[in-house]
Amino acid sequence: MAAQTNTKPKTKEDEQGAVIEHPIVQELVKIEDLISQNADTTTIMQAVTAYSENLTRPGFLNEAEKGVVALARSRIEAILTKHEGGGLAGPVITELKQVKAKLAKHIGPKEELIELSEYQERAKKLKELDYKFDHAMTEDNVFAADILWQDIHKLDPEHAKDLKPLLDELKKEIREESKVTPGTPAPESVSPAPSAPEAQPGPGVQPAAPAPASSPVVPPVAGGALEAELLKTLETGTEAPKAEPSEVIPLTTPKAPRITEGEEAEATLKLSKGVRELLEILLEKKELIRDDDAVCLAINALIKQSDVDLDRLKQFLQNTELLNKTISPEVRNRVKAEMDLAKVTTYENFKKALNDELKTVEYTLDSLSKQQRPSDADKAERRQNLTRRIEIERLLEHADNLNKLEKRTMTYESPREILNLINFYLHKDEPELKMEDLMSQTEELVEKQKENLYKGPRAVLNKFCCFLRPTLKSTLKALAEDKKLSKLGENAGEELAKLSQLKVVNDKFKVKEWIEGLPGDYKEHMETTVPRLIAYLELAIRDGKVSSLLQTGPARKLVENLRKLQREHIRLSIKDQPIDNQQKMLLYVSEINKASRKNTDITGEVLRKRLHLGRNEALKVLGGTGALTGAITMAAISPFALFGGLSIALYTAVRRSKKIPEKWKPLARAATGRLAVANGLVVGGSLIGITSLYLPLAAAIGVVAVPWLWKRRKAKKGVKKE
Amino acid sequence: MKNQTNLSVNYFDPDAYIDSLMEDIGFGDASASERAQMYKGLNEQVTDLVLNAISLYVEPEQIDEALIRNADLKELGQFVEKLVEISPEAQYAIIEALDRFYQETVDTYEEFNKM
Repeated sequence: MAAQTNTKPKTKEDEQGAVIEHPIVQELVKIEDLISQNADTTTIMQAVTAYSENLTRPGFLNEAEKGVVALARSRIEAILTKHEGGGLAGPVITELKQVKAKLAKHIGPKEELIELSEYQERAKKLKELDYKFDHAMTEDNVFAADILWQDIHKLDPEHAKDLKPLLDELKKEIREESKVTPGTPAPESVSPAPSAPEAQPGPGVQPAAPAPASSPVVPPVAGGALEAELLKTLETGTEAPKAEPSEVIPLTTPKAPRITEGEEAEATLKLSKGVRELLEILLEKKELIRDDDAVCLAINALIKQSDVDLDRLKQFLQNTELLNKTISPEVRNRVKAEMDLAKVTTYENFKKALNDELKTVEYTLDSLSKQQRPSDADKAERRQNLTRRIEIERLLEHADNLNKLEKRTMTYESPREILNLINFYLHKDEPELKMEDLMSQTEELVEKQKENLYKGPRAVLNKFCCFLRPTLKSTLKALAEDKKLSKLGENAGEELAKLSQLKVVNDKFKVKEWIEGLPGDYKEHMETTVPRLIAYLELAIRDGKVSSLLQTGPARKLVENLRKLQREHIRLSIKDQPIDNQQKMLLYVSEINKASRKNTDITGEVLRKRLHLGRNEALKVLGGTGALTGAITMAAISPFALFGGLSIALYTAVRRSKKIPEKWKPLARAATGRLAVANGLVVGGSLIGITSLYLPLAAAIGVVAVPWLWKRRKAKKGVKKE
Repeated sequence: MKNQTNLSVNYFDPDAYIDSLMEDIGFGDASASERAQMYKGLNEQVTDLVLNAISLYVEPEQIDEALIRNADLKELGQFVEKLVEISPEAQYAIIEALDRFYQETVDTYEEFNKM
């Protein structure tokens, strides 16, 4: 709720920023600058008169907050005390005094004047109180919330007035809930104790949150970060499950008994020391060794199960012969030939030479790309350079690998590689075992660990929401209730359910058949039903993915096929138009852009609908200003989600329900933050404007330089275009 | 054209991607204004593809991580950048989407040309 009232509880920096940026202060700063630069009296006089006139302009002063006026006044006082003895011309001093009087008039009687520092102090305190209040509300702790509300009331009655309805609502709910037991606060009287320490860390955690508050993005992000952090604490708790509940949330109950069932699973959810060491030696990327990575855990489990001698295993895995096989003789020969050509013998020199060449190539490419109308020779040169660039990149990689191999510092690229080899090592005495079987065995191992991962505390959320768990079929059926899809006819639900069959999902032609089989015109469906289906399904995927609830694979496949059909439809509609090919291509691109804009519009529409249905209070919690925030807020508020997936409904539920155990709440909160981000990306992107997004994005993809990723991709894609 | 990629092996240069695509669909010799128009259109589509790929493929844990690490970023673009950086899945999805789009667009051009 820190963001609940955007105007009041700002961070200190934000407060200062807003105050200093206000024109009343800004203009004054200019005058100060003039004085300090020893500008001539007329200039200063002009500036001061202009300032004074501005102050009398209707509305100018009223807009300002008291802090702003107070700051301006104190600054003027400083100027006056500094220069009254001399240094400034008499008329200027008189004018400044008048300005001071004007400002003082606005502030009111002297005793009401709040000095800036005091103002900031108050804002800070208010923010802390607000934060604690929010916590108390989240924990349904009426008792604490009431006390905090009174404190807030003392500081800022108006803000307190805003909060009053929330408090009343909570009180009412609690009263209704505990009607059976007379003495309303009975269940609450216990909770102040746990909530007090819960609220205490508040200010401690605070410093992490304030920094972002200066940006428009902040409120949700900050909230999300906090939640995510909590989640992380909870998740790292998997390492030490027993310590977890007491560390994260002080519970009144000593320990949740439910945890025990997952304890067995959790025991395996931690990499043993030896395995961690082994992985650290073998892998260059330490960040891949994680306790929440199913592959790492599978390695752990495999080693534990088969009781293998770690040292011998290490020797085996570090065997150069084994790694040698990863580089083909052709590659070796190629690199050697290039090295001869470059007249170098060491890999270091070779790499240096290549890097130098790469720089020249890039420079040439750069200068070529700047030409408005390149000639044919230029184009040929460009192509040649592009090809060479790719070649150099490859050679660099190969040289690097060969170098590592010779120096025996070759490392593995992923835990999965290691896992496969370990499995191979364990079964090397069984020649009848086929490689494919081994591979599927390792897959099984990983799958099992994945299951285990989702059995621990992090799966709690899944358990809680299992009744919401949507399948593609149920999602599609739910879509039938949408009026916008009414063209599908009376049996919309069943028609849509047909789409969920696996063989349909995976086959573009089957999907096409399905659309053709619908009552009504194919073309019309392509222009109304399909875009809507795409948008809805993508929303469902984001929702489902974020909550790890929906099996998103089939849905993604279906969306892909629908999009393909959509583009094909556009292509066909343009094909026979009497225009030249270039015009056709332009039309094609603008049409597909139109289609994706429509898609974003529908997404936005759905999110707005959710927003509409949402509670104002949820809006306040996540709210703020700015396009992104708006988008994220829209995405986040969905108490009545159109799709079954986990939605912000949870947020309200989490805040209000007593049915969710305390320690699960951070999880649920974090999930809502993620949802906001995932959906916000699409709509937020469109709201912010494509151009402003493009540059950073280009940079983002520009940094994609994860070798194993490219390997995987190369393996999938085959030969590259030369 | 099948089974090929038009992206450099080690990094993605959006300008090079769009330029190369424009050449492959017959805009190499087009007039400056037509080129500009095409560039704008492709640019928009590419941005859309990228954002969509991220939103559909980024893992929840990665969003958490990005949120924790980059809570102080002001621009969505910057945040997205960080998000993509830590998410191989999203990166892979982006590249797949871009490859698919390239292929489809070139196919379209060839189809138009056949007539």
